[in-house]
Amino acid sequence: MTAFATPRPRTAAPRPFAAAAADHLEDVYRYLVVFTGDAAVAEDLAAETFEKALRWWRRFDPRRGSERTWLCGIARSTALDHFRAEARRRRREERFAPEEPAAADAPLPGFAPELEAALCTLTAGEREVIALRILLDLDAETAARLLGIGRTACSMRLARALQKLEERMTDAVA
Amino acid sequence: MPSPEPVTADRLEELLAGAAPTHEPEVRLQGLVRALRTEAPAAPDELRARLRTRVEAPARTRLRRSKWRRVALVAVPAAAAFAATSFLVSGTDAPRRDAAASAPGETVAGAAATEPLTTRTPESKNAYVEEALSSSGGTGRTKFTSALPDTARARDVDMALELRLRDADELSAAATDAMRVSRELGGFVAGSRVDTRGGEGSASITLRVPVRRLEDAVVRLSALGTITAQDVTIQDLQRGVDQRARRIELVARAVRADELRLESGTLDPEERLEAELRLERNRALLRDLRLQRAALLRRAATAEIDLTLHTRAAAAAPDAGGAAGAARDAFDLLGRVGTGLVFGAILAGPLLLALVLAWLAVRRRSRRRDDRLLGEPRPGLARD
Repeated sequence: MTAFATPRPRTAAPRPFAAAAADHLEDVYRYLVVFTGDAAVAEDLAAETFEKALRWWRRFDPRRGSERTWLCGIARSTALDHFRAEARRRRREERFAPEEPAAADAPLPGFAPELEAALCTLTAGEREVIALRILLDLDAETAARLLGIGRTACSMRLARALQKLEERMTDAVA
Repeated sequence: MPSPEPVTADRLEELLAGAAPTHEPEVRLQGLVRALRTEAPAAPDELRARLRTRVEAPARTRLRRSKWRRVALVAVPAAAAFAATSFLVSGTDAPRRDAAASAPGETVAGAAATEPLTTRTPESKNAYVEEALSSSGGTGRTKFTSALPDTARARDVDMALELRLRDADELSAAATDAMRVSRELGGFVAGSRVDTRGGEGSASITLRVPVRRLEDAVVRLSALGTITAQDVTIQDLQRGVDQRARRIELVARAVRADELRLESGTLDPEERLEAELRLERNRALLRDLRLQRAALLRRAATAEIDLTLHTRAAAAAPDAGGAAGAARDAFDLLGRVGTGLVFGAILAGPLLLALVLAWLAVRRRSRRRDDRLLGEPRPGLARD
């Protein structure tokens, strides 16, 4: 930037939300599918994510990060809220019906069966880092900031997750 | 099958950045990454339709709500700040009192009903005297001294009068005249100090004049210069006089009773000794009470006038407006605000610290709970 460059206005207006939503819907959905391990849940959470994003669109500041990162942050908090609610519901149900059979899981569409099976054996945290770094191709720093961990910890978590995934796939093939 | 050689985190970052794999595990890893990226599912059409419908919903309602929210976000703090400022300013803008404000101490009944004595404007030497003489009809009783209603009650009257003279010569002459006035009226000079250097000077004279001649004294002293300040303090002494009179009566009767008993000759030695000791104490008490009463009556008999003479220009009126007054008010306000902030910080500091620590603890607990959840393959759901 030169000395004569026009300074960026403090309140640069973001582009229309519809355009941003259309551009990033795939990324947010894929992130949620892998994170939750359930396509049906991911669809609902994706709708809820964009509902929140629409309400908060005026707060988005392009200087603090990209649209995709901002949307993924909202998606993450939405998913965590879902997990917490599910955990509370589960505890209540166990009190009254401890032998309830597990609900049938919706398969992860698109993935090969071996890959899908291996993904389902990973923890949500491991799947999340894979979704952010591999599917969405976020850099280590951005992903670490989203996860609330350090850059090195993020890289190590990804390496362990991928190694575990490969082991599970290898075991499945074997 | 032997476990594949693990790829380090640093090497993984290099591979993700585009580095070429160098051995079998890295090749497999790269294949895994490619599979994840290519096989990732696409968003279903239903989701796109839902999103399109929601985004295209009327935006007017959303804008209206957020507009009023923004107005409230600005208006509420502004109103609170305005209210706080008004409160602070009203505290600094107390009714201005000059040096001749109403005095402390008990006031004579009826004095409060009269016009405040301090409403006289300064620099009204001739006008004041003329008004005084005209209102009194020549009797010397002025509106000023009418605040002392005619009553037989004993009162201690203290008056302060400040006059400005033109120069040191005039001041010196006025000081001499003031002392002469007090003597002519039957009073005396209780103290004086005169200081004249060059063309300037000041004098402080304490006069005592009989209370019944106070009006005359005020009129004649006021005519010596230009009034710049005046004050009157009236303290009721009658109650103290009456109390002592009552005690004197009681003690005198006790003394007389003991005297009669001793004269009767009917007391045994022990009773006689007790009566004599009691008689002695009561006589001493009687003397003290009579002395106290006399002192109060002497105080009430004369009024004290503290006369101050000076040659300097009158000080700026306390209620002067303009830039100087506004600046003073501003500094007062800043001082109060600063004091309030420091006080608030001292009070609120520990509480804020406790709140922050509690918030950090809750946040840490929440993160640990989330980490436990994310450590499950299906967070919150039934396990296989």
